[in-house]
Order: sequence, then C-alpha cells, then structure tokens
Amino acid sequence: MSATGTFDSWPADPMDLGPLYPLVGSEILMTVICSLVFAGFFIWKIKLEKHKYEKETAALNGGND
Amino acid sequence: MDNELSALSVIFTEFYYWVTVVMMFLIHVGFCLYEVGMARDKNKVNTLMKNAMLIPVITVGFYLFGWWLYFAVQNGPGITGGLKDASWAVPWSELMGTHMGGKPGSDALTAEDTALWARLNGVFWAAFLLFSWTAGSILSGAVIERIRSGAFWLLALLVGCVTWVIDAAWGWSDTGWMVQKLGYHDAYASGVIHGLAGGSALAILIHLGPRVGRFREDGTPRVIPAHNVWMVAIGMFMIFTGFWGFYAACNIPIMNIAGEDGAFFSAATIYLTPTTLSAITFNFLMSLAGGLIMGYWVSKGDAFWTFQGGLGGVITASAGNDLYHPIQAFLLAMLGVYCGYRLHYWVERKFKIDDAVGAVATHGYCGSIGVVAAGFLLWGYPSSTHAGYASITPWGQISGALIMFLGLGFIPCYVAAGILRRMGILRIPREVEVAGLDHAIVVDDSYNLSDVEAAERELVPLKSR
Repeated sequence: MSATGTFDSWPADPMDLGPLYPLVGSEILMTVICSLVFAGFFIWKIKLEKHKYEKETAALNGGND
Repeated sequence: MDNELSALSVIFTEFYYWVTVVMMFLIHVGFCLYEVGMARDKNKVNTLMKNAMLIPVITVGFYLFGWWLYFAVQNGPGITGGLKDASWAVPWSELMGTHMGGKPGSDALTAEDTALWARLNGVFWAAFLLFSWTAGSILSGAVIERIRSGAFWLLALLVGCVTWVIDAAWGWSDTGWMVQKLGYHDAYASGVIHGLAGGSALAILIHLGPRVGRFREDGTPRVIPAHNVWMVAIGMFMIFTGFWGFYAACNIPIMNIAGEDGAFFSAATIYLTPTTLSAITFNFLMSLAGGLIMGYWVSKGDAFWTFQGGLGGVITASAGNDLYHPIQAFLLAMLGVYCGYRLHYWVERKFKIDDAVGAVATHGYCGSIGVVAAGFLLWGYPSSTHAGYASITPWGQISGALIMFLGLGFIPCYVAAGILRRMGILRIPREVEVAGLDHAIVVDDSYNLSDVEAAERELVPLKSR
C-alpha cells in the first residue's frame, strides 16, 4: 500500500477510484490549518499596516524622511 | 461516464467551464490595468497590490465557506425551507479535491454525488469564484488611493464570499427562494453581482470619504486625471473580452430541456430555462454598442465615460439578455447608461461621494435599472421550468433590485465599513495619502536607486563617470 495514498496501482475499473490525493482522512485537519493560516494573514497585514503608517506619519510630520 | 455519449457530455461541460474561467481571468487583468491606470503616479504599486491580492484572499475564502454557502442557503433559510445539504461543497469533502468519481469514502456522500461532482465541482467552483473576484474588484476601483489594503481585503471577503454568494443562492439558482416566490430573473447578473457590488461600494465610500483635495471648499469637484489613459483603455477592452467568458459561464452548455418524457438538448440559463449562445451573442454585442454610443453621446465624447458606457450598457441589459430582442438590448443599454451617468454626477455633487472610477454608476445604478426593466419587458414570462414558481413581474424585479442593492449590498458593507472606521483601520492617514501610498517604497533602501548606482560605480569604475 502507498505510504500516503489509498492505492498503489491503477485499478482495472476506474470506478473503484475515489479521491486521488494523499492523506485521505485528514481533510478536517487540513481545513483547520488552512483557516488558521488565512486568519493569521489578515492579522499580520492589519498589524503591519498600523505600524507602517504610524512610522510613516511620524516621519512625514517630522520632516526627516 | 460508462458510454461515449454521456462521457462526451460530461467532459464537454467540464472543458466548457474551464475555458470560461480562463476567459474570465481577463476581467481581473483588465481591472488591475484599469485601476492602476486611473491611480496617480504616486499610488501605482499600492493600487496594483490591493487589487492583485484580492485573488488569493477571495479564493481561499470561497474554498473554505463560499461554495458551501451558495448551495446551503437557497431556501433563505426559513423562507421556502431549511438549510440545504451540500456535502460536496464543504472544504473537508473528498469532492473538493482530485477525485475520479468512484465510490465515496464518506457516508455523507452518495455514489450519485461522486459521479456527478467529481468532474464538475472544481470547474463550477472556479466559475463562481471568478464572479466573486469580479464583485470584489468592482469595490476596489471605487476606493482607490485612500483605503488600507487590509481593510479592503476584509470588505472584499465579505462581498466576494458572503453577500454576493447569498444573493446568488437566493436569486441566481434554479431553486432559490426569490425565483420561487418573486419570479426573480437576472440571467447574466445585472443585480446579483453588479447591483450588489455597486451598493456595497457606495456604502464603503460614505465611511471612507473623498480623496484629499477632491472637492473644493464650495463643494464642486476637482477632476483627478488618470496617470495612464492607455492602461485604462486596454484594461477596459480586457474587461469587455472577459465578459464574453462571464456570459458563457452563466449558461449550462448542454442539457435535456425536454423533461423526463422527451429529449431536446440545448444550452440553458442558471435557472435551467432554455437559451442559446447565439441569442446571448446578439444581445451582448448590441447592448455593448448601445452603451458605448450613449456613453460617448451623454459625455460629449469623453473617453472614460465612453468605455464605462460600454460596460454599463451590457450590465443594464444582462438581466434579460437571454430573452430580449437585440434592438431591445441596444435601447435598454442606452437608457441605463444615460441614467447611470446622470445619477453619478448628481450623487457626487449632492453627497460629495468620490467614486474614483464611476463603479457605483456603472455597476450599481445600471445593474439595478436593468433588473427593474426586465420586470416590465418580461412581464408574465415564466421564471423557471419548475411548476408553481412565480412568473416575472415588475414588483418581483423591483423587490429583487432592492434586496440586491440595499439589503445585501449597501447595508452589510455600511455596517462593516463603519466598524473598520471606528477601529481606525479603514483609511490611510492623510499625510501618507498626500505624500503618496508608494512613498514608503520610494524611501525604502531596497528601492534606492542612488544606492545601487553608488555600488555600480564602486564595482566598475569608469573614466567617463
């Protein structure tokens, strides 16, 4: 048996084939990881912008840019 | 897939949608070009990245919850039934990945589910996703040069993965409650995408405010010219081109429309009502022509409004372009663009709304006018092939236009943008706006050309220098 898949040879009847991707059964875990990465991206971006614009505004008001 | 004819039909459908997705990608390329061209030189990179990153943001959101939402809430829920089962559309479904259509591994799915969705789920998902990008991009143009990208992406996620998806479930599916109860008809999405996105953009613009210097002290507007009119023109042509793919993607390419007792294969609309690619080609081009002529006419030859007019013309006629005569599509497009243009300037002067690209007019007003007009032109037509559904009426369409523009467009975005404004993360600080949104990039060392030139001189000393 394949280390990560559900088949190790192409079956004679393709209708025996369902999902082709590896790690079948881990879909919920993958969904949770994807959701966390997605939420993390937004949190990072909003924090980055806040910091960036504070710094830039201070520089522009100070005239030292 | 067990005989050549059924296999050909399924694989043709799969390939058809795949091609429409590729064509619709041009809409997004066009929006990027158009928006960057419309922005001033000091804001180009920020404008590009704000729009380009909408692609991954909406894609992931649509994978995680948007696709499921489309199927799940077609009954309201609570209006014509409860939440619908859509086990092929949840992100943990085996059918949301590479699948050959064989026996399901999960009890949530049946053999019929896997046989039907294995080859169609990805391409259907992508076709809807490209509509979601379009909905997000419509907002993007209106708010350029002063919105924070993070806030914009959150709002684009709300519109692209939640509100437009709900309105599509309600009014742009064969069993949606608005189709059943109101006879709502919007074959090529005048209201479900354009009306909704225009209403959403207007709500965000109210909270966002105009660009610094856009209005004089006496309230009259200043024109902020595009920094590159060629980018704007090429972008608009690309949007027109991608719109062909959009129209094709709104159709089901081949299905038996004769019911269980007969066999007559044709293209059908999203409501499973019959149409042909030939019909919509007539009407697409005639409404484009009507919009371009009226855009040129009403603006006295202004290039920006001529191109916007072409788009607005198609959007106005889209609700009924499966059924109209081409001359009806042409005249209706002219009416929509005339009204949209006049409304744009009235709203701009009256409420000091700075819509940088006329998105609210082209999409919101033209789309809503198109939905209402379909109620009169198609009064009494059947909205569906299902028995017992309401027929198309003016009041059904007026209700539908209000649900799209106000109920699911304006109100959710007004609330969301208000929250972001209160949190202080909606608008870029005015000092930065005046300096230019690319100011930080220009002063960043990595973009410091004089530093590069100094390094070059050090490495390759030339006498001529």
